[in-house]
Amino acid sequence: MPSDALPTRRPRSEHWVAPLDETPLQAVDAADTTSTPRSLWAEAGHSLVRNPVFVISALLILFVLFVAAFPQVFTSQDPRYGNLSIANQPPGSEHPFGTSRQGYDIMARTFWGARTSVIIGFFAMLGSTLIGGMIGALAGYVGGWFDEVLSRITDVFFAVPLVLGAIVVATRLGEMSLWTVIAVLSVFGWTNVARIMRGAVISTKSQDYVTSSIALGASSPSVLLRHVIPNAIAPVIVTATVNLGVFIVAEATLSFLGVGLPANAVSWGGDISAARDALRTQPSMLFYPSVALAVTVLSFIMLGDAVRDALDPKARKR
Amino acid sequence: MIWYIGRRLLQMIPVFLGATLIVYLMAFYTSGDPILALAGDKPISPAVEQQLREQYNLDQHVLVQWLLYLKSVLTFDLGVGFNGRPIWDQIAAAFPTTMRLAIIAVVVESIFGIIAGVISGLRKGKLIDTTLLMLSLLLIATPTFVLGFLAQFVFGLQLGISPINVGRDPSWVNLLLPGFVLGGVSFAYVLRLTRTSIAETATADHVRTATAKGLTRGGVVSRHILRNSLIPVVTFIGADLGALMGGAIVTERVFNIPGIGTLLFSSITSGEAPMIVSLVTLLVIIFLLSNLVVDLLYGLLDPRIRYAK
Amino acid sequence: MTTTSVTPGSAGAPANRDQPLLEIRDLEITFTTSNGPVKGVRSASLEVYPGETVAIVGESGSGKSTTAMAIAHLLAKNGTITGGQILFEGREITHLPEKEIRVLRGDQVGLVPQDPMSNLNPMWRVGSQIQETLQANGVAKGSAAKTRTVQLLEEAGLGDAERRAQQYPHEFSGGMKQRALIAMGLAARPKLLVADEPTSALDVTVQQQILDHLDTLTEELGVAVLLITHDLGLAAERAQHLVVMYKGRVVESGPALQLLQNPQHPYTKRLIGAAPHSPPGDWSPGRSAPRSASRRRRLRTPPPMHPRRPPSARSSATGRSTPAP
Repeated sequence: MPSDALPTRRPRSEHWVAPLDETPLQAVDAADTTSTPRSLWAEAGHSLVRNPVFVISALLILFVLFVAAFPQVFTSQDPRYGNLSIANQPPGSEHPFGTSRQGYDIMARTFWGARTSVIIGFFAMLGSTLIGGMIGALAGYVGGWFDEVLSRITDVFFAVPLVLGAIVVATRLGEMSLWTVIAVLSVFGWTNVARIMRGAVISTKSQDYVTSSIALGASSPSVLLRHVIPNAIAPVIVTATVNLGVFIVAEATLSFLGVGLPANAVSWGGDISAARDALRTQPSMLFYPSVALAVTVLSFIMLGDAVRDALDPKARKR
Repeated sequence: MIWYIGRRLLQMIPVFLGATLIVYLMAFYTSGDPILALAGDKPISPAVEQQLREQYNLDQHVLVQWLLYLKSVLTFDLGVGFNGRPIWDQIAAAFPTTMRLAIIAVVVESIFGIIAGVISGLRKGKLIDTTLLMLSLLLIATPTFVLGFLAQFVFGLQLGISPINVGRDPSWVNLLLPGFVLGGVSFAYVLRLTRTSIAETATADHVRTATAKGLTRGGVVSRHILRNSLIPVVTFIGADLGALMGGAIVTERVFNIPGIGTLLFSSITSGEAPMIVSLVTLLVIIFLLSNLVVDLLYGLLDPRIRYAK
Repeated sequence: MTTTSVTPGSAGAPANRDQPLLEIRDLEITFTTSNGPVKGVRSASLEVYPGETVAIVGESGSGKSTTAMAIAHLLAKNGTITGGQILFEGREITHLPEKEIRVLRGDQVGLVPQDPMSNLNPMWRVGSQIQETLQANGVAKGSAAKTRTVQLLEEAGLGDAERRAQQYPHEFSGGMKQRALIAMGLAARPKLLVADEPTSALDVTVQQQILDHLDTLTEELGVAVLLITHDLGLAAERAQHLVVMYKGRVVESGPALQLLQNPQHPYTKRLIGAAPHSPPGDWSPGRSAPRSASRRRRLRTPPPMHPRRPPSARSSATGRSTPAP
């Protein structure tokens, strides 16, 4: 083979050295001083404020929260005052979004409806995250048969879809109050948090620094609190944020099916259902509450997305 | 592979038992008196009450009742509904319509969702990706019934190309628009899932190696990115078939389609607990079965699972 | 030697032996990160001549892999060549469009990647992944490609190749996977093989075997090798020419022996000092370099059953009994 003739044929086989002043040698363990190290959260915060998706969704959420807290700032009309003599009016100076078939001011109902959706979304998120977080953390941390049992229970609740489970309960309870809706959504909506929490706890548990702190004599509960939870919490926060939006949609769907809040409640879901029979005559009855609901849910999902990207170092580099 | 199927079937059993127990207890016992749940809003005579007690074994312990109920489900002997027709007949009549609707939705979400997701994942950060991502977010943020109303408004009222109400014995064509509406949210989830999965696989080592072999971009994508990325997507789509049948309650109500969802809705309004429990149990079974099918597909897609005991 | 026979590749008849096969001049590669652009490689230059083995040595993050990957445009998405030139057989390929660089991949520039665990697609049979290489480069099609695949696996030292070709990567051990990857990298008989730390993920005992085998194969095929490694001892043993990289720059390059015996740059000195089997300044001709030289001589003596072919010979036959033309 030709390799016989090699490597002597290399014409420029000289020994070359880079100029030393251009390539100074650093200490073996020299720290890289060109970039400042930051914690995961600081790094995430840094990239979040530069992410337009985060900025827009955060501003939208602040706006929605403000509307929910002070709807009277935006409208002087009473959302519960229906006057049939002014029903089905087109948008005008008196009623900027027009009036509904029942003679409600659509604008007032749209702004006041934010309060219901935000309260339900927030507390159902809180409830489901507490239930799911606790079950998932326990299953992941304790492991063994305990994990097996809790995981099967999670599967059982996962197999009963959120809306179906809520329907069955609602049928028996009749019309539900705000808090029963929240309770029902929490009881049937915690499974994805539990699964994520369990996975996160298991992967954190096996990491070297957790093993080493146990080896150093830290007790189990303190290990759980000090190491596992803070690291597992990031994906849970992301899921919870997205869930908040999902719960708002679920509440609206229950109202649409007539098993949610009572008919006299001011809620987007109820108003959109009422618009069903007025598609032809008063489309703005459908339009305004739908847009309000979609924007609110969208901003929470976008926030979740942005936080997820920020907390995932791999995604950030790409 | 047989071991694998067997193990999955065994794991399904406790989930099935647990889910039916929860539904049973919720439907019959949340308000105290199960007779109330069985009779609905109508006042009933003592004779009828006695008959109901026997039919539903209300004298037995609640767990025994539930097991006997399970037996009646598995033998398709569900008793007679409020309207005098056997519950099972009513379900069997409504089932094909909902199945068609769900199949249309699954086909829509799979084809469009995967195509859009692949485009998005391969062009991550580009304009087309951002556009598709925004579209998916918008779909997720819009409740299905709002989407349905919008579809009725645009395609029915404005364009006049589709009937607003579907009515009895709908054909595949008539179910097309409702099917798209039903699959809308899932389309968005499939898109996002495919996108994430594709973008992740595209940076895998073995993809670079495949590129280094001299394959065309199309070859790398179809042989080395697509198949590896589709596993989580297939998992989602399969499990979604069950969820879609449950979600059909909203779509069927919007378009007035006489399917399982409408049956469920009317039994909710009349408080017909046996029908509700039967339907929800059926939906849970479908959900579990479709999950099992997914597991098997999973084995077909991933040789590592196929050969694991 | 487990190899039965080897087909000489296109490298058998280079146009001009005095012309470098690969020439990299002042290469600069920039990565876009969330913290702004980062230069992964700056002003790196090296040459590889037909048939020779050149090793790039450096610590992780020194830019050695990046430099090698840039040749066939296999950089990560956020990495781009921002300066300098890459010439292959005298042809500028630095900014070649995707379509044209694809022609080079596989049958001109082959790759043996670093981690055998993650570099085979778990979804496809090992054989079909090699077959794919043959088909993509127009070497063989259909059943011919199948037969050739088995031969290639045998050539790479994999026993029971016929059955092995039908298996999935998860049924292979690490060493077997790496042999499959070597078969894959050499399948289309490239002129240059980029071997990116080909054995650092494997057990030491397996490492030696596989490197010896790779040496033999490339030697017989006349393939030039660009070996990327962090192990100076290994580099000196396997390569005739060394390129030392540090913090994205080439700091020293030269013939292996000369560089070892007379290191000039402080980083090279540190590398030699850190080598476990040799205290500083103890790289005498009696140690690793001559060992490699003697081994090379031994290898270059053809086995009796495998008569030497002239460099210009191009044989398509592969069987054990192939007579020399």
